[in-house]
Formats: sequence, structure tokens, C-alpha cells
Amino acid sequence: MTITAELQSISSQDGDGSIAKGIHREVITFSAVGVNAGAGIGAVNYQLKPDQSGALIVFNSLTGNLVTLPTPVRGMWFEFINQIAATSVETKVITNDITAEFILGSVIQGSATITQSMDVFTADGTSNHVSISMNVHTAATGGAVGNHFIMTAISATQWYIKGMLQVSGGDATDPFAAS
Amino acid sequence: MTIASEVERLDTGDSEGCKYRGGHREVLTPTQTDLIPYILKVEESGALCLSGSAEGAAWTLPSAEAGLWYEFGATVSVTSTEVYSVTTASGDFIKGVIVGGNLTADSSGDVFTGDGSTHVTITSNGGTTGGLIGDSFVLTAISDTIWVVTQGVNVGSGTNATPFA
Repeated sequence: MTITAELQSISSQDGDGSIAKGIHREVITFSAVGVNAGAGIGAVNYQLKPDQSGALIVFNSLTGNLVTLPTPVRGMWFEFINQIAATSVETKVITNDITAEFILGSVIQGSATITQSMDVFTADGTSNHVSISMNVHTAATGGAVGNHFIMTAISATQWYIKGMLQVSGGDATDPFAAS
Repeated sequence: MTIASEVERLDTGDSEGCKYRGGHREVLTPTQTDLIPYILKVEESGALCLSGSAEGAAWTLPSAEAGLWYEFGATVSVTSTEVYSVTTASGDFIKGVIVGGNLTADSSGDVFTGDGSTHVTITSNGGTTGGLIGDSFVLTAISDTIWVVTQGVNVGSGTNATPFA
């Protein structure tokens, strides 16, 4: 006998919704030390898992970060923030299959040192945009402290992104890429 | 016998709260246009409500009740002759700010405010008030009459204008 795997549901679907008081989120920190020491930092990829959906991913590495999303399942979501800025290397989040899974949406981005610097960048949901790559030092693509964005799977092929990125200097530059 | 209707709870009511690991959100992508309103339900609170038509969309919120929240976004740019909008139920108002930005102009950002007393609609027109791919904002009810807007970014073109009305 095969038992169909289905996601557990909190609500009994009675129409009233549900309350989750005092909810605690999962927090996953990528750092040189701690629970995930070494994982997801520099060029060492960290593969996010479906059961980590809803987690807050904290970038806390001076040597950058590399995180791969799971295969998108509608409703899955992850939030990312920069606790510190990497010192010259990129912080990157990429889809699991760059030939079939894409990013759609927008981020706004501004400089902490330039007034009226805010700009808007869009990911078009095609193979043009499969990653968000932020390098606060060499490319002005974001990645400064306080950088934050959310990615929500809206289908089996697309992640919807929204966020606010920050650079420390220079004109804001498009963080979305095709690889 | 009458059985009282109560909202289900994930926590047990003690002081330690609860965990909700691996949670997946509800994503609403109805087929609609700006002429066919989608009336959101209480049980859809927490959903990501996406407008996926160049012909726009019209979302209607349920009556405000503290704690209800919805996130809105656009996966397809609305054309300049259409709109996508979110409107409160009668007697409810919108308060908060949305940042508007122009995709083709550097340093184009501007901030617009919903006053919580006259503003009942957020409208993106595919131009100055937003409505292009990537629009996004969250509306959360903080009382039985007020929705606050947070995390608001409207992506548009031309000189940004207020989306509140």
C-alpha cells in the first residue's frame, strides 16, 4: 500500500481560519561558527530543504554566502537578511534548476551614503533571472547590513521576490542574474 | 445545544508560544480582471494574492478584524488602460505608506501615505501609481476599521503618483 504524502494542515478548513499565537520561526544562520558553521558561506553551497519553509535565513559571513533554493512547491517561502556585509565577495541565492526555475518580482535598493539613491529592479520570471547576487563592495548590487528579501514559490517554476537591498556606496545596480 | 464557534489555535495557550516549521503559504492566483472583484474571505488571511492579468484585478477585503492580513503582488504588468486595485469593506480605511519607484529612471523613489480616514482603495494603473511586475504590499487589520499597509513597493513608470484614493 502506498500512503500519499500530503502537507499537514493546521486549519480544519471550516472557514474561520486559525490563530498561531506566540509563533517562533526557524532561524538559520550561515556563519563561520555556530550550528551551521561553514555551511553556505563562501563557495560552499547550502541546499535549503522544503521543511525549512518559513525560515529566516541570516547571512553572517565576511566571505559571502551561497544558498540554493529547493524545487519550488507553491506556498513555500524563505526570508533572507544580512546581519553583516561580506568584505568583497558576493552573497548569492540561486534556484535549484536554472533551466526550469526562475525568479519573478522586484526589489528596491538604495545607498546608505547617497541621498535620493533609491532604484527599482525587476526579475522577469524567465531564464534571464535565476539568481540574486549581492556584492556591496565591488558591484553595488546590495548586501549591506539590513538587506532583506522574501522569496515565495508561486508555482512549480517561479519564485516571487520582494525586498529592500542596501549598498554602502555607488549607484544601485541590478542584483538579478541569469546564472 | 449551541457549539460556540472559535478560531482554531496552533498554540496551547501557555506562555511558551509555538513552532510552525516548514509552513507553506496559501497563494491565490484567481482568473479575474478589474471588472470582476475577488472578494477575499477571512479564512484566506495570510495568503499571497497575486494579480496575473494585463487586464488588472479588483480585490475586496473582508470587514476588518484585528489580525487579519493579506499580501498583494503583481506577476503580470497591468496595461495602462486597466487597473489593479484593493478596496476595503464599507466603513474601513487604509493607513500607512507605500514607496513608488520608476523602473527606467534612477533615483526615482517617492513615498505616499494612506491617511486612515478617507483612503479606502489602493489602485495601480500600470503607470504612475504602479502596477508593473513586482508590485507588492501587505495589509494587516489592526482594529475593526483600520488596515495598515506595510512593506509597500509599487513599480511604475513616469512621475510617481499616489496609489491611495
